[in-house]
Amino acid sequence: MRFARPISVLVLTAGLLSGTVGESTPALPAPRQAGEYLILAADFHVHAFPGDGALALWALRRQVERAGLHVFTLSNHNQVFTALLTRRISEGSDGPLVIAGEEVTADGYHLIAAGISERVDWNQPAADAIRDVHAQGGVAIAAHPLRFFWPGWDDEAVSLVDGVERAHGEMHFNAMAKADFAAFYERARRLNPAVAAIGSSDYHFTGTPGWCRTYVLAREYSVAGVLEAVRDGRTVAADAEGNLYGDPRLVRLVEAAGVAPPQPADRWQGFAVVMAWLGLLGLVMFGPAPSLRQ
Amino acid sequence: MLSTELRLALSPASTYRALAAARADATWRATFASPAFSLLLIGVLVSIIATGRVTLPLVGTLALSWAFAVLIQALAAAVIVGSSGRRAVSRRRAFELLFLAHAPWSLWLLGVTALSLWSGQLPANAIFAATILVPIAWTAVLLSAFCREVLGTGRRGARLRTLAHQAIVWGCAVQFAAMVAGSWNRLIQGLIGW
Repeated sequence: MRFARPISVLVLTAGLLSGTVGESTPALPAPRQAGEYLILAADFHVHAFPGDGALALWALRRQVERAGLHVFTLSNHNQVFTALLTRRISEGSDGPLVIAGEEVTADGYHLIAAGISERVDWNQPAADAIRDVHAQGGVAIAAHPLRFFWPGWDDEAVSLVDGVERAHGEMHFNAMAKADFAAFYERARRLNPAVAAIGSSDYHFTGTPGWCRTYVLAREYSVAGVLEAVRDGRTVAADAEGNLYGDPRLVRLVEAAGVAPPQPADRWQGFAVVMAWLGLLGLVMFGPAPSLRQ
Repeated sequence: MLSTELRLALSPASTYRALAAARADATWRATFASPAFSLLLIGVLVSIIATGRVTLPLVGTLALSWAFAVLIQALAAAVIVGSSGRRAVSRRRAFELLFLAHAPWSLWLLGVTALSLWSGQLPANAIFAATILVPIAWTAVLLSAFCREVLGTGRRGARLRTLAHQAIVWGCAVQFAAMVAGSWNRLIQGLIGW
């Protein structure tokens, strides 16, 4: 046991080094072409630190790039500061496009406001919040519309919304959520046939950005091009198993293009994670800290 | 042989008494060792939970991002260490000894990380809320022992300082949680269910 602490340090170091050396750095794939459109992989619902996400903005953007996303919306709850900062920092650099956004988080509904520059007030009915988003030139997406939220979505709000999260990570843990998202999307399609089908990860602390994702059929590879496509309903939602949802004509286009999330070829990450965890456990449990030897 | 931190967690009063008697002053290295370890622990574990990977740049970035959690601890430590004129040790040594009380939270974080790796997501709110009571209560016991054995306070003084320490830490934590949840409304809603 005398060597427990040095061994723990070694195990932790081995974990960190193997994880660092074994990390792959895949390049962002070029968008596929489908007729007159570019197919961009997007995630409109991602959270970051400072805010309700684990990853700071620069680490998040790297994570998004590894997931093969061309564009993402940073949408912290009821604040737009982190998103604007991320957009500012990423301007002019390579990597995924950043759309500044907010998850407008009210008692009766959650709404992704994508493409805004000022915070949208959460303390108002959904229809009014959507009008505020539109007034800023953004698009509004109904976030994880579980039946719990349906009372907040009257017909006026559903008619105004640009997109609906048809695929969301929650559907893979909760069968009722899966049914709720399908039912809400069908209702939205009845009220607004051009409503965009959106797939979002709602990435906070676990999982991966783009786990559920949206394929955007854009005329140009730009934020404006992406927002225009959402307004026109030219999107296809994908869940984590690769099932596609949305307008059948667009789904066929995306299927024909053969898009799929990339699989980063990391090596030794399982080993690295276990070693790092064991090393830390050893340091907490065994041997006196060097500074405390008496 | 158990670590100093774990011995402290298992028998706080006698370990704090022995540590205070062993040395009255601390080097800067010793003072910063435990906060630095806490930063490393946070960096590695958040990296594992959030990305399923550990790389040096990621761990460094996350440790830096979440350093505010350690700074809040330091602020609370400064308040209670500075509040007693009957300390048996120097201010720096007291600071060092207080930061050794991290074992309950470190073990809890290691457990949450293992659970999230196993299930692919963070534990449910109810499990989170139930298990978090363990490190909270355990830390309160350690703080109380620290006040009595290192700061030389009586039982009542120890209780008041423990309360003050926890009020500072949890006041900041809850304020941060309300900010990231979007509003106090949303925080309460989140605690109840979705």
